[in-house]
Amino acid sequence: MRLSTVYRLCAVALLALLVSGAPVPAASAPAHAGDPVHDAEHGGKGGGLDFTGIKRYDLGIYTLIVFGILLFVLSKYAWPNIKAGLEKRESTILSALDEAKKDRAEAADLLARAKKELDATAAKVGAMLDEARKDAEALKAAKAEEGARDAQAERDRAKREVEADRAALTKDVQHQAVELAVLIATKALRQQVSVENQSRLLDESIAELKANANRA
Amino acid sequence: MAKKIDPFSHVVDSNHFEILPTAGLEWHGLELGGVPLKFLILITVCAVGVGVAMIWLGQKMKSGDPPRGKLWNLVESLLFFVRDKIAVPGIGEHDANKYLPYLTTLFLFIFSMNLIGMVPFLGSPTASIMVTAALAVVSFFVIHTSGIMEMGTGKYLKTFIPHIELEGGAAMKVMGGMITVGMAILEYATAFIRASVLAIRLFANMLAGHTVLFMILFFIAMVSDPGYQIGFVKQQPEGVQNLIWGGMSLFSVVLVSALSLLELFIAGLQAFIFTFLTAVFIGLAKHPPH
Repeated sequence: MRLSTVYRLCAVALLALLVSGAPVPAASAPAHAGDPVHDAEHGGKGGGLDFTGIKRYDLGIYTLIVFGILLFVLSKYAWPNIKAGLEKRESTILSALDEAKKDRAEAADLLARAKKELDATAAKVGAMLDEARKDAEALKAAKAEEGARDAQAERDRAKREVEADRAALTKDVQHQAVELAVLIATKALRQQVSVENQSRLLDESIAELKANANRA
Repeated sequence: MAKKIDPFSHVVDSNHFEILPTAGLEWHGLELGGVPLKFLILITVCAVGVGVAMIWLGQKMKSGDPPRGKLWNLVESLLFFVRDKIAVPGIGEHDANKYLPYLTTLFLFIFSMNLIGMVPFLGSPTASIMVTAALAVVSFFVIHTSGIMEMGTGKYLKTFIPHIELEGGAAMKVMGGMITVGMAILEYATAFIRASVLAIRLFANMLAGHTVLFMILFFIAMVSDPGYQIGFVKQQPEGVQNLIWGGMSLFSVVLVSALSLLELFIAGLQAFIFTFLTAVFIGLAKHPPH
């Protein structure tokens, strides 16, 4: 059971206890209606409409006076402060509202500007990307052309070198063949030529030719 | 001889406070020149309570800060309740704030006088017709003064006269005139009747409510006190009488506790009705229906 419920139950029980105390003395008290003691205690004779307090002009006049004083006191000491406080609170709320409206308008303006700038930046970036792509493609094409040109030049150069080497080699072979022929002829003139001599001469000449070639 | 029951004896004004009479906790002799002072004291206590609460609220609200704390919120909520649920609906947005001080004071004063009657050993001053009549008189003057200030005395008094035009000959015109006079008399009487009804409604509700509570508790005396004991119980043996007394005590206390909660609601409701009708009548006086 929650504590507040216990408090409530206690309060109800106390109330019931206090209320229940009321009728007991009423029962033990002298008879009420028509009883002079009771009438004196309750300010009336106990008959007719006395129970309404209809003859209690003093009570009516006193209520008027007290209520009048209460109105006067509150109009002097409470309402001016309450009014001032409410006006302050109202102006605070209104200024906060105005400020909030201004802030909202400013935020909307900033947002629009930021969006505009974002759009402009996006367009600029797109243009830059397009340009970069074009540049890259142009560069790629140029590089490819240059590469092909270099490759062709290299091929031509290699071809020329091969041709030159071949020419030099041919010339060299021819020269060696002539030398060989001369050598053979020289040796043949110095001795009689047989089949064995012929073969030996050829071998010696080739070996000599090789030795010359190695020396060269 | 059986004693007579006076059901109003504990509701009307008296010269004593009976806190717990069974324990001898009583205070008698509160009178001045034979006039009981109990209600005068309670009216003063309520007025001082309302005054202190509103001045305190004024001091708190002066800064313009929002309310903080339970008590501040509670008192301020009563003020705004009167403004939003009574003054504005009854008088209209334009004039509501002008009458707010009067209506708030009236509501809190009546509410506190109704509530103080819920304290068992005290009493409700609003259960006296002269107290409610005094407040109705003040409302009567506020209502009609506001009407006169709005449109002038002559014009305001003319608003009570209805415009009736009957087509036909002279006889019809005479009849129309008679009806107009008759209705004007009724309308003027209504102004007084409205104020009287304000007083009687509040007084009757508070008197009846407290009387019912008293009578339900008095059932205990009717089965236990030889002076009030009813015949059926008297004829029973003592054991049965005790049993009836126990059952009746439990029944009465439980029922009175439940009805006391209802009375708490009625204390607020009657204060609301008195103040709301005053606001409506002020609104009608300032802007009469055409």
